[in-house]
Amino acid sequence: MIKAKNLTKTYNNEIIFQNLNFTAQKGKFTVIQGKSGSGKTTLLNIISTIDNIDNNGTLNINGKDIDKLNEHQRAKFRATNIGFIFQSYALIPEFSIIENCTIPLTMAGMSEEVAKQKAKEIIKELIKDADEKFFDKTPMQLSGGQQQRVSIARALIHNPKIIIADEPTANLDEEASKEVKLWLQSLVKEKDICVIVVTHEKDYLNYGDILYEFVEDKSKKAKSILKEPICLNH
Amino acid sequence: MFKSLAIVYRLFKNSFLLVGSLYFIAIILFISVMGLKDSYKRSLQNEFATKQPHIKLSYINNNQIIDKENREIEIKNISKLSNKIDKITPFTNGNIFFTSIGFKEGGNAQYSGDIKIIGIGTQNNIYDFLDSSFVYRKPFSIVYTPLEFLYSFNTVDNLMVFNKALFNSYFPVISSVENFIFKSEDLKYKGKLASIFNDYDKQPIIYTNIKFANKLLNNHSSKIDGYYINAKDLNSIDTLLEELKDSIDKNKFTISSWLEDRKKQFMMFYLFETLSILVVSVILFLSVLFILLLLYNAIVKKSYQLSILLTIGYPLKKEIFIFLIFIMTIVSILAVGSSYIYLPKLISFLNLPFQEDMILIYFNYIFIFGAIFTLISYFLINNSYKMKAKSVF
Repeated sequence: MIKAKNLTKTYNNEIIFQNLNFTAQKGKFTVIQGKSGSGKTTLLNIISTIDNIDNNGTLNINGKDIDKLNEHQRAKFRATNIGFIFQSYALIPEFSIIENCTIPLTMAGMSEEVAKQKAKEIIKELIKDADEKFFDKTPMQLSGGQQQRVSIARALIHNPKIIIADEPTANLDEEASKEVKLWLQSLVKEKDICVIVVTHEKDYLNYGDILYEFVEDKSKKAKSILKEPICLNH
Repeated sequence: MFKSLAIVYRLFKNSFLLVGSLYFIAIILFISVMGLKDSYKRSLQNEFATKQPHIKLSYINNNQIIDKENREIEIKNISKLSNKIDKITPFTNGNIFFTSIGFKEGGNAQYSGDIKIIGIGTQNNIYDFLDSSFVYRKPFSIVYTPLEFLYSFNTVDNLMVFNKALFNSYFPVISSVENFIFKSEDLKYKGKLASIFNDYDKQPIIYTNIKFANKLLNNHSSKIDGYYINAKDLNSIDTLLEELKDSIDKNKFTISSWLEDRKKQFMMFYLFETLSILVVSVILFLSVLFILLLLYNAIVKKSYQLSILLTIGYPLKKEIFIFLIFIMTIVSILAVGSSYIYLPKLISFLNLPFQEDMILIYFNYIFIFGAIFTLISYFLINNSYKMKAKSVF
């Protein structure tokens, strides 16, 4: 589903990684780990089509050569194929909960009425006691756990084939964290989609299928290298 | 497009509301001040319709007999005092109580009370500096007031200038020539009078020739004789006043200028003008504030929100387009406002000759500057949220 070959990224004359290869498949829960500054987020930015690839690297998602698309085409691609879950939730404070969730659908041209209905259904799946008052609240009126659930609802509302999550449970308590992990795991199984999570938490090894790990490049050609993927057998 | 507008509005709602309400107040203020200024300007124009910038020399001692011969000698003497003098017109004026004035014989519009009589020397009294002699000269060389124009052509013997409040049922126009009857204690006059509308003086005025004015005033205590002096160049009236103040016989004449007589009205007019410029300045300042606030919001405060939208696949092209239209509209307002309001003042402050095409050149410069500014803003906004998009994770 996601095939990245020979990825090289340089920031301020420092090579973050060189000739990196990465694959993520549908129906698999891929976990990416590594120390801070090792290049996890840089890789995430590339595979989520936000950042460009240096040199001759290639990125193919669902059979589409992303490196050949322009910025506008990449944005459209993201809008239809990828759902994002962020550590800081990235909800727009000026918009209500329901409006935050409907953005991906209205962007795709769906009418506001239908989008709202769909958003309500998916939020209710994630937050059982959500009512009409809840939908009209702004993100700042919610707890961290609730915000993250709304953020997950936004990521899933347009049925993306890929979910990319960056430290999705870092700001949540233990109980909420476990709930989200289980939820992501069930998504992979039930909807047969590709979930990629970048995290520090070792606990994800109990939920993920594939582990990629960034380690220091001892040859000093780059800052980090990505180790060969490990299949996590539960 | 409406979705884009809605998103731009939602994200920049506070800026729009803040500057929008300030704009609203400023524009209401602007309309009020301009309304006041315009109505005052109209009333000033009405007032000065019968007046031209001039200097007034009045005899201190009015008991002396000032006949035609005396006046001609005096005019000749005054004319030698400055080469800025265009014409010297003798006058006599005073107030008289009328027992009855009516427009038409047997008419029902009557007035009793004080009337100002102003007798003006005929055109034959104008001294021609080229010929050094008194000649009849038609008034084509300088701008004449309607009153002077009518009088110059001897359309009628007498002119009556009405006060609006007292005679507002008449509203006579300049060309109207009416049969008139008026009576004072020892005089009854019946004849033709042309009347023009007087909007400013508290009493009606009769403009007539000196001979008739003398007859009406009949050595009345309020009677004053003197000369109106017009300058060749209206702008040099102040210099002429200074020259005359230095050279005139101060035991014989008092000297005052038309501007001095109307100082209060002028102060008021300048006050309105200053106020209107201030309000326009506030509007222009708000426009600049609006641009800066929008840019600050787009580049600094809201760039995170914009970057979230970009990250999840909203390319923001339409939004940026709308944003640029906003900025260009405001830049255009700034360009037009400053070209028509500040440029003429700046040129006059720098004492440069003013030309109409200067406004266009200045407007173009501001507009080009605005377009460059908009382009820079575009790159700043674009780069700002694209950079931020990489750090949303």
